[in-house]
Amino acid sequence: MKADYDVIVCGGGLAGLTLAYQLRQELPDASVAVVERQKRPLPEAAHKVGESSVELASHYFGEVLGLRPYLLDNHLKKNGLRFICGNTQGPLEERPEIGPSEFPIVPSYQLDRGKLENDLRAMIEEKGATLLEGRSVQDIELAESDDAPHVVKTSGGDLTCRWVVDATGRLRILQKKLGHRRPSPNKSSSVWFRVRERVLVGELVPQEKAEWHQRDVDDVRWLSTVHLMGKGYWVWLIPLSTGYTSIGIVCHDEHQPFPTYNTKEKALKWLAENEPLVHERIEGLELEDFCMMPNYSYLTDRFASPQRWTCVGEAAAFVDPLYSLGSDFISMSNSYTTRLVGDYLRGALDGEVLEELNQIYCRLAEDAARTLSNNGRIFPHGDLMGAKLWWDFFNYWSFMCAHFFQGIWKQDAATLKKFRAMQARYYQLNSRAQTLLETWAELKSTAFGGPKGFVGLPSFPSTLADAHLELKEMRSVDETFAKMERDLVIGQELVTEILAHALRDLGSEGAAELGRRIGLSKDWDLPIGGERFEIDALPRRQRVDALPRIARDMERALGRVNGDKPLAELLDLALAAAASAPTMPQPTA
Amino acid sequence: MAQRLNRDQIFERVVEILSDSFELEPSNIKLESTLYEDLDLDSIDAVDIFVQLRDITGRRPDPEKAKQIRTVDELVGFVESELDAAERGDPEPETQMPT
Repeated sequence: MKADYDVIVCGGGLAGLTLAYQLRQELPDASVAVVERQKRPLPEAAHKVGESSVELASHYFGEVLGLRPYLLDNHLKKNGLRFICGNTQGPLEERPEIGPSEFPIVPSYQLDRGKLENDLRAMIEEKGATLLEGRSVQDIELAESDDAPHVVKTSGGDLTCRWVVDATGRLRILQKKLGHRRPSPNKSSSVWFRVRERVLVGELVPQEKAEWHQRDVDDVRWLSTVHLMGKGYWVWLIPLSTGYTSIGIVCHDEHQPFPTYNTKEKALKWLAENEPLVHERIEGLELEDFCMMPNYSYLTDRFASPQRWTCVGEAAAFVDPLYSLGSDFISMSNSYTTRLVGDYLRGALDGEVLEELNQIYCRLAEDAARTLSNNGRIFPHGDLMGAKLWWDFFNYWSFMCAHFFQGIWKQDAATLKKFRAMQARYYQLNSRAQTLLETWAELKSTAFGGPKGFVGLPSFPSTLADAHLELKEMRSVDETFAKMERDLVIGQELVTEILAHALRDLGSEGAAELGRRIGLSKDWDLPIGGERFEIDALPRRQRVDALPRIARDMERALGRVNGDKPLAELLDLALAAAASAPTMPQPTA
Repeated sequence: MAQRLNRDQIFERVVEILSDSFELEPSNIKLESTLYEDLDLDSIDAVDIFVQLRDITGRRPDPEKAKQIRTVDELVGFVESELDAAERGDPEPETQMPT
């Protein structure tokens, strides 16, 4: 087949540029072109939102692409995610704080997108990719037969290629054209802006509140992505290496309608009402590059096709910014694409492999959307948010990160199929965990639950800390699968502990209602039978020694509320109420 | 900076941390109580205690010193010496890999 390039990447944002870099690095014989509308230089600090990266993307940028030295020299090393729940109208030092107590061992970064994309453009040219700047992609005409090239229509003329990648971000040329867009259950909107100075979370607490400040012994709290959590919304504070601060407001539409904060003036007024301390701190500063994105979440039912195309990053799906997963999905779609393009150019593309990767990818996005929607009632409560974070992080590290770090996506179709079945089991457990957390939040009688003070995320030593540190250990495919199986059992125990905390917190009245609404059943894959819940009545020392380690970890993290009845009785109430209620639809694996 | 805590105030804070974290009756926590026998704590509890003590001392504890502590009295003495070290501006121990 004659074509101008082996691969054309339509769009040169973060996804397109890192893909071109990866393609040239892993497939040095492949010719790669990137077509990008915007010319250099991009404005630093004010280019794009999406600065915060978490473990999976940090592994991709740092280790898979090998950019770790560059990132450490040119961007900020990030101190994890930090969540501040509780009463937004009260002093910040009295709000529960959940986050790392020391710098996490597995690194992550705060990226300055303008700087990064400028630098990446130079790097991909050095790697031998062709960068066609100042040309916009107008259409992608897919080949009608296997031996004809695709045609990319650009403002500078037509280009042909053997494999085409849509990296046009929210334009989603291929998804729209081919009807693969799917709605997300997450109905949320966002605005964001930057201010030309550092806005540190520590500045929101008076200096004389020594205990709050001393908790952060290394003075690195500000290097976290700080989330200020309120009912149905959150506000981010992200420091940038260029000295700016990125500030964003994210609201669930059902709690806070978009028109209440979609201009600079309204956003300031919104902050004055909802996060008055942030408002006070930034009052009088210029809000630069005010941007907005109503109803930002969408999914897809196809990211890769045997017709020789893939969609990467936001050209495929976008879930939610809460856990900074945007660049994780870039990492996965890019790596899967690199593998598929490599197979194709060697004449060894296996349609089954492509379909497995396609399904794994779409399911991961759907799973993340399940985790990140309908959860606004959880945000103000320190105990609920703590429980959610423990589960969500454990789930994230155990399946999504593990499959990526261990290169499962490079395996053959039979192996992928086996891991996809494992993914379905994690998905089912996650679906139940999320329903449990949301329902607990609906039934909670207090405005702000949970321990005051600080909750380590993770605390050391703990099951969660182990899960984090184990990310760095390389394993064989079989070892990875066995570890996922073991972790699933720990995950079931973790969800059981959340159930126990919820039952004790809600007491006998709420317990029955919780059981009814979530359709709790002994058939669930949770260790709720036998002596497990009887042990709860024992004195602390005996209880701690008798229960699995995760139970103790959760108690350390969330504190303990004693129910009005013993836990075993509360469980019976919940099960009885569920059994006498009409059957709930259950998540399918 | 807040007023420097005296020994009695430190004891009060230690009792508060121990009783809140480990379901202990405050009246059962005495200066001479041993952490691992009388109060029935273990090494993970100890880690959690030292994490909470950072709110008072503002310093990362030296793990070698922390390991020697056996009684509530020694714990109070440890906080005092950490506050002294903070006043003198002594360097803190190196961060250790959590294990």
